[in-house]
Amino acid sequence: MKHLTPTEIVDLLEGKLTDARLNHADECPACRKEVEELRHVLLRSADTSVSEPSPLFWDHFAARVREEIGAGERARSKRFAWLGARHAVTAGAVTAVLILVVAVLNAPERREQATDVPAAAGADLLAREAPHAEEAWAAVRAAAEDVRPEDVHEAGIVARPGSADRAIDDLTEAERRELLQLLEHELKGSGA
Amino acid sequence: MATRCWDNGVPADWKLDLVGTAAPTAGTDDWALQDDDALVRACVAGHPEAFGPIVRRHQRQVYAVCYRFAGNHADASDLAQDVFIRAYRGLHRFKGQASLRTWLYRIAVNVCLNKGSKTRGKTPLDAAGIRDPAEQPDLALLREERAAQVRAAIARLPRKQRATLILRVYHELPHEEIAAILGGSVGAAKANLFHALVNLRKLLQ
Repeated sequence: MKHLTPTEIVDLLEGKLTDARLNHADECPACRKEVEELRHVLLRSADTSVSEPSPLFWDHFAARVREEIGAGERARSKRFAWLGARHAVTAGAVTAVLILVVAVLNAPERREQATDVPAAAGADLLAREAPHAEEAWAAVRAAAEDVRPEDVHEAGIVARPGSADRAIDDLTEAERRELLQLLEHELKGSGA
Repeated sequence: MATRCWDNGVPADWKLDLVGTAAPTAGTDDWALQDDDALVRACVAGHPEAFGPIVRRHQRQVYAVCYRFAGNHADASDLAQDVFIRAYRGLHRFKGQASLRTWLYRIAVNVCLNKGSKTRGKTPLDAAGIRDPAEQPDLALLREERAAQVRAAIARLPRKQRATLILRVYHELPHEEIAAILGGSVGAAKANLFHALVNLRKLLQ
């Protein structure tokens, strides 16, 4: 007959083994020896009590848990508040940039005049046509200075597919030449 | 704001100064009378003061598990505190499929096995146990030495075997509950106990 399995030995130690298998345990010296040795280990293990902390400990313990949870929640609240403010600033800056870009690109009078303006004069174009444009761009630059692409992404602001193509389509000929010059300048500067 | 909570004779100021937590509503003042499920629901619904009775109800068992793993009061106390903090933060994930006690045991075992790994294999520091005043000093010393050997041997068992032995032998949890706590079948829990005893036998020889 098969020897007792580990599960059956545990059942036997706990007095839950079926009668059929109990018969085997009685008749098999190997199984009986194994069970007796493990029973001895079990009894020896069980005979190790631990001291109970004083009653005062439990009140202190509960208070400690309460304070730790409170401190953690307060820290989390501050963190989220800071994150919220950061996102608000990010979203505000990005929105301002978008509004200004759209306003500049869609200004009808500027578009009509710009066709006749030489490309070389493109740098002065905005300053001449909109006296406050430099100040506005400075404000936008300052607001967007600390904005990282990850912040924009976290704020849920994403460019829709085709946005760049549509923006370029809206440019006048002079603006496109100016954009090309700026891109070339940037590429040279970056060493690409 | 009515924030009376915990049971009688204990601090009634479980009031977390949180931003955005709702005030307890009338009729839920006496949290100590609520069962575990109701307390969990109250906590998740924004009544952190309902967590107080949960702590008071389960702190002894959680501490005892931590003590069995850590082997000293200071570490056991820190581990038990960590268990309740983690439980509080994870209450929204408690689905009630197992009892809150089982869930807390599971957190306790995980915390002890992870955080307590630094002390694994070391002899517990102050696990002297309870001394019977009527016991002769020589016998008491011998018994304490033998108990220390057992604790040191248990500390050297593989993680699951150690957890199974502690939960079964010292907490007398049924194998079904141990299986739920450790993740696995009842047969695996029994096999873990068997192998824990076999390994202990070797270590104690």
